[in-house]
Amino acid sequence: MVARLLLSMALAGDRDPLDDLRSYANGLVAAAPTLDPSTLHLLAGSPVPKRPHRFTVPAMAAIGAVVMLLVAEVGVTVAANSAVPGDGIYGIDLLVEDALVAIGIPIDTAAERIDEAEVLLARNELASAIQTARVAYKDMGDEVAATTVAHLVDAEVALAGGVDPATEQGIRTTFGALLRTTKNTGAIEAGEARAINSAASEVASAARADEVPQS
Amino acid sequence: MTATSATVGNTKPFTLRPFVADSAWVGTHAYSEPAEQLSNVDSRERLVPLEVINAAHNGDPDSLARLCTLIHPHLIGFYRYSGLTTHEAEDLSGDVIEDVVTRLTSLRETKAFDAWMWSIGRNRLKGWIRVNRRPRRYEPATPTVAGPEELAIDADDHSRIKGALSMLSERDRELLWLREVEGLTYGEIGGRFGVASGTVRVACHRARRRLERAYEKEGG
Repeated sequence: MVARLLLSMALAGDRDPLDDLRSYANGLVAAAPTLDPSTLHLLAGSPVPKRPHRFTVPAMAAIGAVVMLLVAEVGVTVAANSAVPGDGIYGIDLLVEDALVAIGIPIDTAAERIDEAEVLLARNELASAIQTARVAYKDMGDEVAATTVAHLVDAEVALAGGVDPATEQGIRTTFGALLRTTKNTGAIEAGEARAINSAASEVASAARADEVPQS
Repeated sequence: MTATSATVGNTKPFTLRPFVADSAWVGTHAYSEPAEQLSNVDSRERLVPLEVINAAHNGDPDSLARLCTLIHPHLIGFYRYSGLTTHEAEDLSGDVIEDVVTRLTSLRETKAFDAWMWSIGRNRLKGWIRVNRRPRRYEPATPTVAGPEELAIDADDHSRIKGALSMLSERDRELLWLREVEGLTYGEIGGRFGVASGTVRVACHRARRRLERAYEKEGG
């Protein structure tokens, strides 16, 4: 071993390659420019930044995702609450109502449908408004369901068959009065079936206005 | 008769070797060696005094600045030695120093600072090579010293070792830097490469042999 080392040193001209390597490397290190600590912004009077724990970032990401989902869920629910039939998120509104009823929270679904019918009426979607209101009246009780629903079905049939503009306007006016009667007079709470039925009959009468009298 | 002592024909008995999972104590950002691996680290000269590392680890800005100024020329030297230009070496050294500053608190064992710092430096170099992907010829840098006279002497002195280094593989050059220049122990280097210290010992021995042969060729 020693002989081999001596031989290699002799062949190398009495120079140890490792010494030469160290000399060369030390020259590179010595030739390196000096670092000015003031250029290190991380050291400028600030404490050493702590590296976050390895679980911190994933945990924060998970919490952020959950919060975003909750915010999105609440936002959709709030938006869906004001949706009416025909809107894309109306199905979510119905689902939320069903869920609330399922967990024991009372929901006045009839009042909800009446509100939706008002919105549809304001949008000039008369047929949809009557259909939505019919669902509400059907839930109110036998007395209302038996008469008002029948009147509204008459109006729907007339509209589906085509009516002249004057008749349609008459239906719109009387139907608006029906909704106001239902909401403003407290008829729902008091179970005023007579007032509702009377207003509904006006709607049916308006729908029959352009019918050709049968002689 | 157990499997470990079985002899078949004239073959040598097979003996199970204990498996040492060196990679278990290799980490990218929270690297530290187990205490038994650090026992022989104290005997070598440190790149940065331990008290400076400890103070910087505890958040002392002055110590951190001193630590950075101490490691900076070694990083530059290593990157120049690895064939990078001055600007590339300075950029990469800056990145490593930023990593060191931001990750120092995650270093569990301050005794392992040198190996930890070199692991960051090596990873940065690997990443730089991967991104740049240029298969260029290895050209060892020439140290630029103060006087023209010294420059001439140095250029002459180093031409042979530079020629020898250019015949070695990147891994051999890296091993020689870490072991022969920086004086890291086999255990520390093994921690970086994720291999047993015995493997590193053999690899370093072979790298030295190859350097000697290349050196002889350059001399001849």
